Amino acid sequence: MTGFPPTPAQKAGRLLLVVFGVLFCLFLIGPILAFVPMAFNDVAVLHYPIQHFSLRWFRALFASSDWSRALLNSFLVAAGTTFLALLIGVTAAIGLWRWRSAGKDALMVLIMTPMIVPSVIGATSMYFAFARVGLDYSYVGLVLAHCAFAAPIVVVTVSAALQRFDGNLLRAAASLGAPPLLTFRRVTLPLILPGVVSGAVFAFAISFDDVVAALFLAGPDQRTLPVQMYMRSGDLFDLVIAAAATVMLVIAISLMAVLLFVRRGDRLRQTGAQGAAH
Amino acid sequence: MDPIVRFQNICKTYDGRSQVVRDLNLSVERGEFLTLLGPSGSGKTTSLMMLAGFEMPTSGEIYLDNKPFSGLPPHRREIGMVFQNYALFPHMSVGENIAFPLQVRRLDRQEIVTRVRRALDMVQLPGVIDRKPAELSGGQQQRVALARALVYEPAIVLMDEPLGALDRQLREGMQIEIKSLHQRIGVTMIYVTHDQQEALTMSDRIAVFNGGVIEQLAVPKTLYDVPANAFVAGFVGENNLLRGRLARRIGDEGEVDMPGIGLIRGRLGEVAEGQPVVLAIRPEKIALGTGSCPPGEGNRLSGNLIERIYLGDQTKLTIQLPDRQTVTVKAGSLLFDAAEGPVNVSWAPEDGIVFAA
Repeated sequence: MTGFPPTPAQKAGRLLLVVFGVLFCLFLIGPILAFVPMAFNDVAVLHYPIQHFSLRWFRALFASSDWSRALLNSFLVAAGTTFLALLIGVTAAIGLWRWRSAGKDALMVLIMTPMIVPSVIGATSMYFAFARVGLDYSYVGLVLAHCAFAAPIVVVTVSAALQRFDGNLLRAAASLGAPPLLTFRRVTLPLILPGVVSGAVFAFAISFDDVVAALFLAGPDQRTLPVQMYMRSGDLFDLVIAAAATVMLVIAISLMAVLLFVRRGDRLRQTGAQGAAH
Repeated sequence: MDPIVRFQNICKTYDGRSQVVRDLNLSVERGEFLTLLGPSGSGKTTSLMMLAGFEMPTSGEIYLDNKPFSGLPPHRREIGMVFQNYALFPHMSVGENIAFPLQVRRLDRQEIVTRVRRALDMVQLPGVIDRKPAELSGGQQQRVALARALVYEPAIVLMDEPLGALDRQLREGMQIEIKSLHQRIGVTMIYVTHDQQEALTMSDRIAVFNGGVIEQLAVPKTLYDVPANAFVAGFVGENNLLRGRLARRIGDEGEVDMPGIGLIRGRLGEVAEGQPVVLAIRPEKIALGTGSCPPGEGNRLSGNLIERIYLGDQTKLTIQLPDRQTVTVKAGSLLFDAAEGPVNVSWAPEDGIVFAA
C-alpha cells in the first residue's frame, strides 16, 4: 500500500473512521465533560455558559462535615479493601500457579464469580448475613464486601504476571540458601510487581466506585462519597456534588496514570531485555 | 575415605505405578567429578533433584557425610546448583546475582564485594558486574550462574545439563573450563547430561542410567573399552551391535552364530550357550579388507559397501552384510574413494564383546 497515493474511496474511508472515532469518544466522556465544569460555577444553577468561575463548591465540600467524612470514609474503605484484596489475591494467585493438578480451571471460575454475579445480589445476601453477626453498618463489613469484588481482579492480574515468571528461579534461590519468605520478597515479588500494582489500582478503584454494596452495608457513619452523592443528587441547587464528582475524576485519572506508568515500564523492561540479548 | 553423598535404596515414583528411579545405590566420593549419563526419562535428573531437595524419595534415604539428608528443605542443604536455563534473577545485576547467596548468609558488605569480584575473576568474566543477565550471551550467563553457585563455597555443586543450551564450540570450551575449575578448587561436582561425549571428556567417573537403574558405574576409559552390557555399549560412543546366537564358549571367548555369515568370535560377557546375543564392535576397530589379522585368527566378513560419508578427518562407511544387518566402519579420509560394491572387513576377536541380547 505504501508508495501509492490513496484512492478517493480510501480517503473517504479514513475520514469516516476519524469522524466515528471522535463521536464515540464524545459519547463516552461527553456527560463527564458537561458536568464537571459546573463545579467551578459561581452560581447554583446547572446552566451554561458559566458566568463566574469560583472554587466555592470545593470549599463547601471540604468545609461540610458530611462531605469530608464521606471522602475520608471512601479513602479508608478503599485502602482497607486494597490491602486485604492484595493479601488474599496474591496468595491465591501464587497458590493457583503452583497447583499442578486438574480442577485448577474450575477453581479459577469459582474465584471469578463475584465479578460476574450482579453486585446487588452479593450486596443483599451480605447485608442479611452480616446483620446476623453484627457486621452490618461497620467498616469491617464494608471492607469485606468490597474485598469480595476486588480480590478476584487481583488474582487475575497477578496470575497474568506469574505466567511470565520462571519457576526455576525459586529453585535457584532455594539452592542458594534463601528460605521461602526471603525468596518471595527478593525474587518473586519484584518480578510480579507490575501485576500486583495493577491489581492494587483496580481493587482501589472498585471500592472507591461502589454504590451498591455501600448502600446496603454502610450506616450513616460509614457513608462513602458515591453514596453521599447519590443521597444529595436530588438537590439541584447544591453543586457540591459536582465538586465531589471532580475530585473522584481526578483520583480516577491518577489511578489510570499509575496503571499506564506501570505497564509502560514493564514493556520497556521486556523489550529492552530482548533487544540487548540479540 | 567416606563418601560425601550416599544414595541408599532410593526409589521414586510420581504416580504410584511407574518407577522413575528403582532401588538406587550410589556413593559419591569427596572431590570427584561424577556424571550421571543417560537418555531422557532414565532417572538421572530425578536423582539429582532428590539430592538438591526439590523432589522427595518415595523410599530410601540419602546421606550427606553419613547423616540422613532427605528431611532437610532445599535451602538448608548447602548445595550449589547450576541449571540448564541459567536461572539468573533477571531483575538483579550480575553482581547482585552473585552477592545473593552471600547476603542470605549475612556476610558483611566488604567481604561480599571481595568475594563477588573473586568469583567473577574465577570464571574469567571481569567487567560485567553491573550488567543485567539479559545483556550477556548464553555462555556468559552460564559463567555467572557458575560463579553464583560457587561463591559461597558449597561442598557439592550440582549441574543439570548446564551446557545444553549452548552451541557446540562454546560447549566444548566450557567443558574444559568447568573441568579445570573443578581440579583447581576441589569441589565435588555431580553433573547430569545426555551427551556421552561430554561425559567422557569431563568426568572422573560416569554412572550410566537407563530405565531408573544404573547400568554401569565406571571411569570413562573402562566404560568405553569394557562396557558392562549391550545398553552401555550402544549408548557410550559408537558401536556396531550385531545380533546372533551364542554357539560355543571357548575359555573367555565365545563363538557367535550369525545365519548367512558364519561364526564370529569375541570376548564373553555374562551369557549362556544357545542364548540370543549381540556382539558389540567399535567402528574404529574394524579394518577394511582382510587387514592386519593373520588368516585363521581374525573375524572376516564380506558384504556390500552401500554408503560413504565424508567427515573431514575420517570417512564413515556403511557395509551391508548378507543377513541385511549393517556395520559401520570408520576409516581414514583417503578411503572415501573406495568403490561401492563387494568388500571385505575384519577385526581382532578381542575387540568385540558378546552380551546377552
